[in-house]
Amino acid sequence: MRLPNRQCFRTAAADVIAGNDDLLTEILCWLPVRSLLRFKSVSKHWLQLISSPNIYRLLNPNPTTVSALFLSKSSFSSIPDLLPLDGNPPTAFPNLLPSISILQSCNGLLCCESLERNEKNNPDYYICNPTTRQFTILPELPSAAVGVILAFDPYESLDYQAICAKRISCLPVLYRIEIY
Amino acid sequence: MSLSPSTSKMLSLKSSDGKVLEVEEHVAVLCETIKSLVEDGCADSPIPLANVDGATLGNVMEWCKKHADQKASADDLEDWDAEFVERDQGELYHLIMAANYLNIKGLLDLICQKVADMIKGKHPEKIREIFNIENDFTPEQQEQIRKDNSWAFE
Repeated sequence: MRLPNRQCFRTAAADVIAGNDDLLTEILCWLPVRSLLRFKSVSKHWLQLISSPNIYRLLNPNPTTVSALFLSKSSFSSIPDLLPLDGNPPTAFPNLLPSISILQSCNGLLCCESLERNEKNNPDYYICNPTTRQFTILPELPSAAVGVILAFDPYESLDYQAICAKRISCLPVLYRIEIY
Repeated sequence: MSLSPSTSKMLSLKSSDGKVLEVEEHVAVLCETIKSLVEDGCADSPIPLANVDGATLGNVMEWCKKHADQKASADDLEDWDAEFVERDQGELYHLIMAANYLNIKGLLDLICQKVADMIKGKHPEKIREIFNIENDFTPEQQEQIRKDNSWAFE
């Protein structure tokens, strides 16, 4: 059976676009973030394209532009709501974390410390992404840890690093820097 | 070399299906690919455009003509562009390929934005259908992606 001409025409052109990473990326970077993340489940090829730092460079070519504000409610011990500046309504972080204090904000990620101590009398550390409402708990840090900071630059890599300073000797005062 | 409308000469463009289109030079040079040829003095004979069919070339030049018109206001161009992109998907894909090949950033952005508007909010299965893509995930991998991006699937 012959397909109508128009159908052939459409399919051939769609195949070319689907097989050309540059053109596909040009289209994808016009999508709202929610659609973009949903389309990760289209195929392995799309997942790889949408997970690549390239697309974030195109999505936000000017990284100094502010795209959203944190909206802190009365309590300072929870993740603030995110107020996008594109007219979308604010989004709240799911209430899954214990009371925390925010240590640092770094290119869209937050590094937080739990107010309560764990069984070893240390705080737990969390990395949160208020945009995607995801969070992860860092592996337990050595008790000699004196601080944690977060390094994250989505224009270089989508992986972040948590850097921990640990006191290894009191006299002379020596610290070891560990990167997770 | 002056490219102003009053002194603009005509260029011949030859499409992949052999159609020849006469276009004013100041219009055609909106295509960076053609502009380079003109600047290098290689634009005398009909310029062969092996990747663009005649119908698409006509559409591209219609866009270039409007955007080369210095009397058109920004609002005017925006309205005109909104009407220009009201086409079926096949024509839009051909325009994307042509705008890419001829290196016309404004047209490429316009059509890509239109296609993105058409596919946004669609179910991933519909996207596979539109672009003729095979789902190569296992159900477990699929579930993991949904879980990792749960807020986007709500």
